[in-house]
Amino acid sequence: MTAPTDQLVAACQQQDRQAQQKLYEEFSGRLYRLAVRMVGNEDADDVTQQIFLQVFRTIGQFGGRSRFETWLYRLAVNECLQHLRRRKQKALQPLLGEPASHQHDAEARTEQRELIEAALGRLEPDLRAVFVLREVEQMNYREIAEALDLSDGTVASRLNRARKQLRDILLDMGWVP
Amino acid sequence: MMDCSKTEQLLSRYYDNELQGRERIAVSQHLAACARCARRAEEFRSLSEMVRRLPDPAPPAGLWARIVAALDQPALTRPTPTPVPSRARRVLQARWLAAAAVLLALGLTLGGLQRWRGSAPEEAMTSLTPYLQTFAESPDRAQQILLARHEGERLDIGDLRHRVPYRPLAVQRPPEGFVVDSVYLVKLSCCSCVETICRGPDGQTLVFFEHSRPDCHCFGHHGVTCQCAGRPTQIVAHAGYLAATWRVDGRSVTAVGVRDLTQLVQLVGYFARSESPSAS
Repeated sequence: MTAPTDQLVAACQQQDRQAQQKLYEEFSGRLYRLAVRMVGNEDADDVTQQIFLQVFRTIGQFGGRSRFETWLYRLAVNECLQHLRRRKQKALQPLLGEPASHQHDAEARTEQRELIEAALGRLEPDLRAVFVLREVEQMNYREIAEALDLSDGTVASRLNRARKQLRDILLDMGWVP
Repeated sequence: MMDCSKTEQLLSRYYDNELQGRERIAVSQHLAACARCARRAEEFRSLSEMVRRLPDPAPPAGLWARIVAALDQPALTRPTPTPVPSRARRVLQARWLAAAAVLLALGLTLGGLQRWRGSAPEEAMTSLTPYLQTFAESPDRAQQILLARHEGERLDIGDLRHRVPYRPLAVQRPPEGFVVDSVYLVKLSCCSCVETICRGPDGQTLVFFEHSRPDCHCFGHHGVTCQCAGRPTQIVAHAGYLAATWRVDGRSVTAVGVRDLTQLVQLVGYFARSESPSAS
């Protein structure tokens, strides 16, 4: 990961709008991708917006005890999980890309892309977070553990469960490995 | 040789190159000999391949403009998410439970306070009760309830010196790690208070009501009074947090949303160090 300069973070802590924009330009691609994988295309804009609002509102509390990226990803994943909880409570929207009837519809889903997106949307959110940080963001276990405030062992067991659950979901949808 | 169950347990570590030494060799040997487990590892590879092929989405062009517009809006109109409790937070919650157990054992809950009626302190308590009951669930919604029941207005920090005869301590020096989110002038039954809403680490919201008089009793005669950092402090427990009133700088301060007794003692001590020399 590319570390932003200390000066950039320091300037953001002073609510410098130009520095905020630079920080946005530096990280918006990765955080938007994370939001898409975590909450789906439809909500990713709103969640990314909320992530950055929280970043700029709370960046004054970043004391440099962890890497800035770790702090940033922790905040971003928490926002995504919070959004998923609210969405579940409201029960207004289906999970990302999930069809009304998901069984045995592989014929309608010839694209593997659609399959994996739908399957990710059905993965438990806590497992999805670990899986996305590993497979999409290419973080190692220590980085994931720091970002999610988990032990390495928990990261390993969640990844195992995530992969198993994802495989079962995909097989249920007609996936042929 | 390692069995299938143990191999499955270690398979992600093995696949992600997070397994070293003898365990790695043992898993490797098992995979060479067990078609079922080897198939599992192959499925992991297929999953990674599918994820890698996903298109890289780009943020929409107008997103930065939306963020800027939202940044410029008043703070309370923005939703305030509640982060997932961290391990540190979970430890604090456990401490809170221990402290709350002591207070609850003494019957020091707001439920009991609701029964009080009549004199000014109890009226204040009665009118604050819906606010306090909602606070644990949503500080923002609690604030809406407070403003619906009491006359109040949002203040610009720069205007404070024209509106109140003292400089509120929470505005002047918010607790370490907290930032001032917004300030209100609220007319409670006891007096007109400056209410300072502070946001802290892990999304904690702390609210301070700084009363104009030294003898304001937001909780009536209920709760427990004990010495916190050398100050007599009236404490009541509510679901998930503490609220407390103590005297500082010739006035009284009520804090709502305090995580536990440890934090309360820190806050009382912190404000004591902030007060003007003549008041101590």
